[in-house]
Amino acid sequence: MSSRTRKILIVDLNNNKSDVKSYEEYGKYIGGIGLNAKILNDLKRSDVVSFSVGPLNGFFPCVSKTSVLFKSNGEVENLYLGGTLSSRIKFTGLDAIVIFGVAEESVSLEIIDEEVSFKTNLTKGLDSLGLPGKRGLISIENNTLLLDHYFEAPSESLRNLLKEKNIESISITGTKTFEVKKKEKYEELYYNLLEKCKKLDFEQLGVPSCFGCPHGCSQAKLGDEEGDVLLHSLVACSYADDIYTDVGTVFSCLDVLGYKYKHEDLENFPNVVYDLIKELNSNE
Amino acid sequence: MKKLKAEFKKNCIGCELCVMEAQRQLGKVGLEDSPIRVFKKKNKDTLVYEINLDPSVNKLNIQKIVNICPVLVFSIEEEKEENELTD
Repeated sequence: MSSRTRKILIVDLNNNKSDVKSYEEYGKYIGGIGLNAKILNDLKRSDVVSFSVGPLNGFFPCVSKTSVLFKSNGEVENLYLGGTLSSRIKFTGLDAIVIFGVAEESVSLEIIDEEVSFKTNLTKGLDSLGLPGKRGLISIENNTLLLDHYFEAPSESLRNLLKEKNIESISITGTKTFEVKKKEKYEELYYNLLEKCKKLDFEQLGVPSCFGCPHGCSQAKLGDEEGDVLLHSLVACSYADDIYTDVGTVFSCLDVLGYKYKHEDLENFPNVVYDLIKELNSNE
Repeated sequence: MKKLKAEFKKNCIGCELCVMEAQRQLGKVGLEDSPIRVFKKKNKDTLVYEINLDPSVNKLNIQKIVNICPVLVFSIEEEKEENELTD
């Protein structure tokens, strides 16, 4: 795994086209909110929504969110969605999915790895999209934005944006698998962090959980909003902030997966993201 | 032969820690070709989960799969050989 290259799927709703591009220069923005902020600044368009994961999603426990960034009425909207979405994006091999433009008619996007199908007439229903067991689904049902028919977004702004874009649903299926070269170190770190996750102060409710999280909690259903920049670049759950805001732990996780960052990169990172968001806010 | 069973699948919260444990034992991270698959279905205002176990899962360390589940979905049962004499 390269610490530098980030692979991005770009979906053009105006022309029903998609393209995958790799950007070596995006590596320093890690993922999640950092990567999303860089993408939106570089695109310099107001009709973009970007879904981004971080390097640890799919690999470590409680790193289960997806960062969503867009502008609505001139304001930057910054949301974090739970469920299985982050793992499905990760297993496509992509770091971000960027959607711009407006579809001519109501459309469902079926994304399987790097391929996008634009479906305008779902005669067999939402569950006909993607591959069962490997699919994450964003849909608008009864005027509510849902993930996997259950999890919600923390505000209505994303639902409104998708409606403006004429998007009925987005299905994301990831079929890629990854080998971790430092297998023993990875497993040791994984089980250590899983034990820490289990000890977090949660009330076990037995409700649907996000991917890789041993707690079925009420917070999972509603997603996250504000929080620590490093946490939201990884993109971990805000309940696990004691674990994933610790630079030493994050450095170890990244290192074991082959991402070559320096401690200084991580320590200085929040300021880089604050500047990007500031720039984004000042752009028309 | 020891066999993994999803005895208490009603407990499942869909975390897929079992899927990832099985895949880790096979040396990979991801969902493809996993001997455990978790399917979710909408049921009123929540989700219910179906757990499919491929028989090849029994070649893995199934005790680790039992242990990683936070809601005790799995058990291990001893399966008798087909030609084994019974009392």
